[in-house]
Amino acid sequence: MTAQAAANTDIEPQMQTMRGADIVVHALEAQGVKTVFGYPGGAIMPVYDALAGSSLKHVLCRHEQGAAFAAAGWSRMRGKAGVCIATSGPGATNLVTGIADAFMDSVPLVAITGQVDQAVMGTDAFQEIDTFGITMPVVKHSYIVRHTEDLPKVIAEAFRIAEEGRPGPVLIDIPKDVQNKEADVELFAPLDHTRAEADEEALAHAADVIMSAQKPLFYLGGGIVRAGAVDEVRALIEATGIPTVATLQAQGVLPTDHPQFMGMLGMHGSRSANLAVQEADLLIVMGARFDDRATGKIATFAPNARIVHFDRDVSEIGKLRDANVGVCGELDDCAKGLMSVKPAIQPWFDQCMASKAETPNRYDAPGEGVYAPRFLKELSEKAGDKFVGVADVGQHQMWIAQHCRFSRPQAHLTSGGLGTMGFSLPTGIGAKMAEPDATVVSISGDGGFMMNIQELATINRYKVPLKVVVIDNSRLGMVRQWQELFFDENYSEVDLSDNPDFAQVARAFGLEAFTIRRADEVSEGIDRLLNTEGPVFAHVVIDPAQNVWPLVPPGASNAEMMDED
Amino acid sequence: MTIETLSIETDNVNGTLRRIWTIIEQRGWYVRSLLVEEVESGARTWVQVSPEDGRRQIHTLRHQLEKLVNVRSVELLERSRVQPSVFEEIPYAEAI
Repeated sequence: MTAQAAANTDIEPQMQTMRGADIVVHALEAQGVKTVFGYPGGAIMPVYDALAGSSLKHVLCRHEQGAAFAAAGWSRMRGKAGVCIATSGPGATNLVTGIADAFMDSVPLVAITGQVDQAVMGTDAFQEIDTFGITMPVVKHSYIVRHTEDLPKVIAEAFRIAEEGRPGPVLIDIPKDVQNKEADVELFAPLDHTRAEADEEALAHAADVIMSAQKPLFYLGGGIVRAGAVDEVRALIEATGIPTVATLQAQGVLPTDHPQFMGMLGMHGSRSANLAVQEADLLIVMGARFDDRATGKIATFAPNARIVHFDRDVSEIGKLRDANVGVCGELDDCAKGLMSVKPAIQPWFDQCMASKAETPNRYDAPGEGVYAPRFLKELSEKAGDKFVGVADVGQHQMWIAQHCRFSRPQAHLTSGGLGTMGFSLPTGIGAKMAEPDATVVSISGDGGFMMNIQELATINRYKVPLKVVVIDNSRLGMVRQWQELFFDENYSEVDLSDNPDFAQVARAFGLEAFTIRRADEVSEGIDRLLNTEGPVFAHVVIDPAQNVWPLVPPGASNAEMMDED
Repeated sequence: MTIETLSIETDNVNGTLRRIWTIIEQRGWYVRSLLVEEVESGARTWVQVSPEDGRRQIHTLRHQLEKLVNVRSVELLERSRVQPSVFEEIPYAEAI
């Protein structure tokens, strides 16, 4: 299983004498890495010295957090571990948010950090920090490499761990003396990944439970995407004819316009999706974790439903809601194992579709200003199947999930678990570099955009043909909305009306830029955005009073949705 | 007070004990006592834990520990005879 360098790489499996820093670079090459994202500094200088003459393309971001998000954006598109590199101390701490974001959304990532010499570790040396300890709660695994000769094995293992099973970030902290020392080493080819075999008896039991249900409902989560099981799950859903709801992370597992798809469930989910969950007598949960944003008050979530829960990670089964049947296994295998299940549920299906038809999204907002949901819908529809919307966090994030059209899950990149403002711009850079043919649109609010605005310089440096949209309500809109609804309109520190002229800022970074202020400018603006070949920026001004609807109040049941009326 | 006892066999790798302790406290449990001994090519840790509140399930914690890379096995040795209180557990400091 852990064979050393084999015939599938160009690396000769013979002992070689190399400096640690060169081993790092060659070991990355041996794992098939072509692109890394990073920022140099003192304790990682030997690695940067080795990078300069290597085959690796290094993308210099303008902040380590940007590098982590860009690497994860690359990974979210490719399904393989992205790589980010930073120095010790502040370089490492700046990576932490990106690593944590990858951890919460189960994104494979390998983060390499420099560390001070082992001789001074523990002495409060310059730019020394306990990176291993700081990142421990937010990594799948981590290493401090103490011996140069361990580097090939550690790096190969890191990729296997990051990608295998439930993916996640792996940190490799490398003291500077380990980077500088020479050692005789053999490089490792990519290691095999183990697969969890689903228990056949449990699968049969699950099939029986599904067959006996009168009102079954698929509840899809991002685990399907991470498992690479989208095709199999789509086939299963279509074979069974069962209505389907999906979490934020699973948007696109079924195309938005699929006839069995009822929309997103949860806090800002569709009314018909939430009502279907509340009435279902069986939830078939695939790769979802009963996140509080999806369930609302867990005690009242799907009160009539038995649970059949499929997940690669056994610790998710029964974590928040007991499962009547829990199946731990690879989701593609689980889906294939259920293909013969076809319950008789026509009345329930008709009821769900009638409910969906009764509660369509509305786009008839009054006034001359831009209505964000209509703008986003039109943007995604005009971009078509190549559309990749990279959301930031806040109101616009929910509007994207609710109103954009997604042909596949990679069409919707969003920080679901950690909810990190500043996510979109660097993630969009990584996504566009991973899939140059896609129409990648980074969409931020004015608050989040300012949190990683420096990455406009990265776009300009590499001429990344990313489309950047800032939806500007001059507010921290989601916080403002909650203050309006739940804090007696006590608007505290949400006014951002002193924002700079974003289009001017973008131009200063070398992007073509323009502003859309009126509804009648939207179509032309979207055409300009989509038809511009290079990096382009659209500043979209909206009314600060626009809210996201529907909304399940915090702590309430999903049955208690608030709406605009 | 609810106390559950786990026996955790791990590789003998630096950082593993810290990782176990991190998971226990991160996932809403307190470490009440801990004993480590060397076993053949590895280490065995006996750890007694109690939950922050009545919503924590020891089987979920067991699985979360089993996922750790250098953990070979986790055994639940003794189930507490006391069900977790819905309202409060004895605070950490008092237990010490």
